[in-house]
Amino acid sequence: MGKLTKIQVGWIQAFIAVLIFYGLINVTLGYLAQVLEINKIIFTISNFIGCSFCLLFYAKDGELSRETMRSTDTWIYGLIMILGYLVLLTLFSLVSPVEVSLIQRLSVLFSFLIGWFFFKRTPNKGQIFGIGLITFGVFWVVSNVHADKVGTVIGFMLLSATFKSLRVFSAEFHRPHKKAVEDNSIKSRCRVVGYIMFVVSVLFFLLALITAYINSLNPSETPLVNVTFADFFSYQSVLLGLLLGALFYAPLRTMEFSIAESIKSENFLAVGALSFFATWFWQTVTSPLTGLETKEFGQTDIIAGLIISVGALIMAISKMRSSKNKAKSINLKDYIVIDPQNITDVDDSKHLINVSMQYFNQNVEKVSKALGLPIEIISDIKFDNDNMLALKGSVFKKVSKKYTKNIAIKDSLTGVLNKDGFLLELREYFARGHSFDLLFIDLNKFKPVNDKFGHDAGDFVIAGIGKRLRRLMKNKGVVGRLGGDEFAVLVKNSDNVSDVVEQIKVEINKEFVYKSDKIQIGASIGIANHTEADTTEALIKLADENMYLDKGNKGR
Amino acid sequence: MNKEQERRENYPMSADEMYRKKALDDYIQRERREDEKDRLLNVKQQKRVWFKVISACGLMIIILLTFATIGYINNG
Repeated sequence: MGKLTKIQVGWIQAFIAVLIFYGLINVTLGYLAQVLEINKIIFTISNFIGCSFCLLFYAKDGELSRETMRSTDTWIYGLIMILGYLVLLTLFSLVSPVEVSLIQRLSVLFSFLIGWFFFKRTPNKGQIFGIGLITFGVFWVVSNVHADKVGTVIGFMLLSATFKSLRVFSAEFHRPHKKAVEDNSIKSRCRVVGYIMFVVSVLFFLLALITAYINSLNPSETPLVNVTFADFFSYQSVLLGLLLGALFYAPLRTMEFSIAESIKSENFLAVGALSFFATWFWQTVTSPLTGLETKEFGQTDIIAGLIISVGALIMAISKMRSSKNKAKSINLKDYIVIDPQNITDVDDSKHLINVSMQYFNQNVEKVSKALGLPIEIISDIKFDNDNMLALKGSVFKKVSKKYTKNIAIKDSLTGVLNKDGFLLELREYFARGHSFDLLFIDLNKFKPVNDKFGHDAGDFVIAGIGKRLRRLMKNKGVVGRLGGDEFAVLVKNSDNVSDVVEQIKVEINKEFVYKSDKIQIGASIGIANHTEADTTEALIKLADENMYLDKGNKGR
Repeated sequence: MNKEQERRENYPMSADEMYRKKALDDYIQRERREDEKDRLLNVKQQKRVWFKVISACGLMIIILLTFATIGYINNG
């Protein structure tokens, strides 16, 4: 079996998270609330702190600490989570827990709408059918709610779906987490999620303290957030919260962020709709141990739950099949980061692509070959008018090296080194004390070629000479074009440089055939040995002077 | 020792190596290369953030556990 792709791993993680973790956690929470009568708020706070401590302890200190704590994405995630939690508590006060878990699935519809309108993620037919089923299941549940409460329930259901979708999207687009994914480091991911959970814990802790204070002022009223100062002393809530936070929530939260990033928010929420089925399954299996009964699942709830689960399955399968077909385009994500934290990454990537395109006269195939990037990536970055795409850090590093090697120091017409590249090479030879000869080549009868046959013919001849010189000097030396019709060759360890000079002259003298016209040119070559000068400039000058002597000998 | 040899022997530390160092301040003081100094300072800041956050986390856990213990002793 081949290695699983990142997307396939994401789908497997999503099913494990929902069918195992969500199901078991819901049953455990039910057991703790009904049998041990724990306080949910104190349990949740302890849970988040336990989760955060465990992740940070495992990840140790490292990159992205400051970035995560300072990132607005982290605090926005925390605020959305708190607001979503308050809305959820209101829903719990209006309808039964089973109904809450079902009507929350409207978030699938919301997330698809957000993905569709804002991120151009068009759902396929199977997904649209699945969304239809889920929405139908949700509204069937709502239609069975008492007439007095329907309006309020619908209002809070819409709010809850909005916050749930936004929370998953804010996880997907959390920039430090994206950076951690890019670095391909499990510890970095855990560290980032650990910091996020810390922020969420602090916000929840403050919420609990404030509401406990408010509740202490009006003890007779039934509070929305049911927490008092006395609840902080509930040792079962604290101990079980910390324990489950470390055991269940730490891996689950890390998985959730990775899943949202890999298979995208709306698909994760679609798989999440299976949690009703998972909860029902685990509650039935564990009922001899927990003593929890499944009576709370009414007939309407079970039918609606089945419809929602079938809809979720259709959506997941449909998306997985289309993902397989689009495997090629998905792999491209390995090169690109969307909306990076640092906008200059976008500018740098675009600049590099644009300069390369200009260098190769807008020939995208040549750019692709020179930079080692797929054509699709080059086009994506070039035509990214929203300035959202950048090459990933590791990719940019590799591409920059190729840019320097294949573009910055190369002559675009001939493929040999340009003047800067050749001078760099020459200085390197000098610095290392190598033995070499420098040949300065000037083409004869080249100007009439341009005048008689046009500049395209001139370019054709220059490119041809570059090709011949590269072939001739392969493993023997370095070829550069100093400009116009001037070339230079650095001949390594040459015992008999005059033979090389003769071979070069023979190659250049060979006829070129351009559009049925025969073109023949010649060359004058000046030689300078590295011992004859102290600097590169002096050596080039000497070779240039010798070239003129050669030209003079030919009487030109 | 010529410049190139010196550069080869005092090679830039990898990020992992930097995070493992206990006394970063000594290295920061001794480092003459500006880019290396910046990297060391960044590592120092990242370590500081991690330490502060995990300490705050630990403190919150201790507070909660203290409450839990009091609750257990009183209500058992």
